[in-house]
Amino acid sequence: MTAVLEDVAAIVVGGYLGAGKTTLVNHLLATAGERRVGVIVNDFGRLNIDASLLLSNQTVELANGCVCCTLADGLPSAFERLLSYRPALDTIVIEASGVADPRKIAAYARLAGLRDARIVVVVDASAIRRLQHDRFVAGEIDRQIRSAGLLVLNKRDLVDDATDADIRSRLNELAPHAQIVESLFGNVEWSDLAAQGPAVAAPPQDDDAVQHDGAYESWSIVVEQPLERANLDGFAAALAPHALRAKGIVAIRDDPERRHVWQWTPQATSLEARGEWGNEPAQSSIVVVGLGAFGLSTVCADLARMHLLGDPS
Amino acid sequence: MSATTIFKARTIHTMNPSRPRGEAVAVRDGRVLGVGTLDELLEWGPATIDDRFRDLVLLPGFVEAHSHSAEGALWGFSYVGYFDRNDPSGTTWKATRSIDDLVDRLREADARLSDPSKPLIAWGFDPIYFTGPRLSAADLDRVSSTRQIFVLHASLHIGTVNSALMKAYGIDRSTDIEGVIKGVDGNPSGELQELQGMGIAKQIVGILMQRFTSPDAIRDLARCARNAGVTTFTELGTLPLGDAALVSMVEKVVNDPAFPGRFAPFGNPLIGLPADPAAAAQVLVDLRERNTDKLYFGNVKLVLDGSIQGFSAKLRWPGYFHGPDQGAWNMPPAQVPEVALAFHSRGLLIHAHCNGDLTTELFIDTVERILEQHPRWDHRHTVQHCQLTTNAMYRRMKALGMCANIFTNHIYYWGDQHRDITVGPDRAAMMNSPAMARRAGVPFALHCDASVTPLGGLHLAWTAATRLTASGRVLNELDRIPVGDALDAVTIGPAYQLKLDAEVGSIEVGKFADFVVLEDDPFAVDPVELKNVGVWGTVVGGVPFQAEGG
Repeated sequence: MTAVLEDVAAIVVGGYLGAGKTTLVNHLLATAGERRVGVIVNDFGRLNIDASLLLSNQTVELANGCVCCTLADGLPSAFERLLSYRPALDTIVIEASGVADPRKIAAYARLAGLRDARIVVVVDASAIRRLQHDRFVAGEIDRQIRSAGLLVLNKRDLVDDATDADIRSRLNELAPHAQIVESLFGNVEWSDLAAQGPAVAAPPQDDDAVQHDGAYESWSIVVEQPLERANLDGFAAALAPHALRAKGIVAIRDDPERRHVWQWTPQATSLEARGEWGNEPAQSSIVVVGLGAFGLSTVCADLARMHLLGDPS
Repeated sequence: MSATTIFKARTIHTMNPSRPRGEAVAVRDGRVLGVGTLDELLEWGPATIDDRFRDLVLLPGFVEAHSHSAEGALWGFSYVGYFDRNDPSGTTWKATRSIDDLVDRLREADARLSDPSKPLIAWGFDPIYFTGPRLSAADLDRVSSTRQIFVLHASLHIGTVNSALMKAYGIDRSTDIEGVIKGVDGNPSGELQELQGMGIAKQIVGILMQRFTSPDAIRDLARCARNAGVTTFTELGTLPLGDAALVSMVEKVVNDPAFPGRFAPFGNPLIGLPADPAAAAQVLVDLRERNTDKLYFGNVKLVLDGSIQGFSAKLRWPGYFHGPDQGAWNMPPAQVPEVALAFHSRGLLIHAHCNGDLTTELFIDTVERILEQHPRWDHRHTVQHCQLTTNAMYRRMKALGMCANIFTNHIYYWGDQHRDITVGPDRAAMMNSPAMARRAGVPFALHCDASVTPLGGLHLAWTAATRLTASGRVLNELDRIPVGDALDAVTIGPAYQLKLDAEVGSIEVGKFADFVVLEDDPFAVDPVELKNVGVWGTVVGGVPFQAEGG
């Protein structure tokens, strides 16, 4: 069971009302291809689905094998319903409410046992500059943008080039590590989502005043060749002064058939086998979370070159 | 002809300004036949004279327009709050003023449980009153190293657990979940936050959830209400009214003649109702068909922000005084008018939870907007909590026909913390001020938000009349209100904003014979003593219900 869950990726789609979240979700469903996608939405109202397909009040199965489900009984039970679906789904897309902090939903996804929670935030190019000064939601808008691994700049056709440049510089300021893609009517490609890498959601703002927004940074890498246990240990040992947490699904040279889950905190490291690779390429995906102020990305890239990529230069 | 009973009392305060006092009240068919002198009442014909209240004082039963079934539900568990509190049987649970107190209280509870596999669940702990290190698993391990212990904080958003519980659920230093708080040593501290964290303790959450929607939760709420003199009370939006089985359960419990009160459960579009607001409104409109003399469906609660002491209320500039701003909207502000319109246009009454001033402003804007789109008279849409509402906001509320239900118990329970930590001296002096509502001419009531603070009209009236904090400070004597106005605000005031003022809230011919029976005259005692006036019990529909424990 755990192995199955680890195979299901989560994509959290955030953004304020009217940004185009539902349109994007519709587009992902329409272009799912061979993927078996589960979708969690507030209600079915604006999804392009045929009401006659409703399996129950809360679940609907689409012709292409995708499954949609509502939040009527809360997020945990929606996850439970989709994860128990057979044959198992590949990806679960969660459409967040307009004021939700996507990082909190990503945390739920991880609690439910899903692999990684990638955060996609949809930004309405025609409204974002106004919303960033809205007396009711300015703070929420900034928080959403900061949480993003991928920013989808939607309705780009509604603004001129100067506005576009201004918006991009604001987005870069708030989320320097997020990728930005443009879209019209939410036409984001699945490959854009994948290109984000297995980004771990940064922790949500909590009541520890020191951990203010934007302090966290995450860095990730995919290593195609299998790793030696000793090299992974070396990487782990070197991380200590620089990072807060790291995890990954890794391929180990002396146990090539099985996937391994690697977890690291400054106090402890664990490496456990979790199921077989099957058709999935046996490669390692590692994510490191640390404080951005300490140049995490540069340090990690150096450490990875030394320990993981066998490149001592 | 139905029988008439005349209750004689030491005195009766009717809260009807046209006929404020009486020595006796006549009851027929569960309603007030008349109030005045015994001779006047006997002119109606033969009657049984009941003089059990001859040394006691009657007022209309208190009306609580903001309470929750959680008040009944949580008494299924051990109380560890910072103030003395009475359970449904009237037994007083002593205050927990230190971590050592807490450990002692839990040891007693542990000793009472015979089954060693049964978890020990406690509630009411509020870290805001404690300085020093936060409550942790190490503290709770002093109670038991084998029994699972779960201390639910007063906010209901956090639980602190012991090592036995963490072990049972595999929570350790490798646990990588947002809601699991870790200490500097990398080990989990025992604090589980929000559903992400608390949800790991599945069995505990299951026990809590089951108790919250159980018949006993509503019965125990009613027992607490009766002990505090409250005859009409609410369940403000935590029960899933779209659930037919739950509605049948509520009907069965409340319509039982032995149930000592009238009950108005509000629907909440985010809890157990269809996601489409129009469909949710339809459910509530349909439920109105099932209303009885004791059960009132058909109102809706919108929860818009968090709490001030939890730093999750939405504040306008200059924001929080000390402490991190964690303000959070419960639904997107741009969606609020659309959701509100769905209920407003079906003639439903909307009560909106607004703790922060930015939130009050959002709801006032919303009411203005929905009235433009769908003009409607006498809607009585109400700002609930209304804690930081400003003079200017009250003036707009007046113009728009809105009501205020003000959380004056905060003055006593958290007034010191608001003054020193959350909002600072200026806003603390003006917060939860019925005087401001009165100056602007906004109809107002006072509420306790049970289980957040205990039920009881006298304590509420006392807070409004004295503005005393727990440490004995006066939070602005300029905004005290007279005792009579304060008692209005726990009787006819809340009845008005529930649209039940034709039936309850004063002792008047034709209205339900619902009384609170007091051991002293609240108009005669020093205002500072108001909260100490004893409650004998209540009369509901002419039937006496004596308080337990008394």
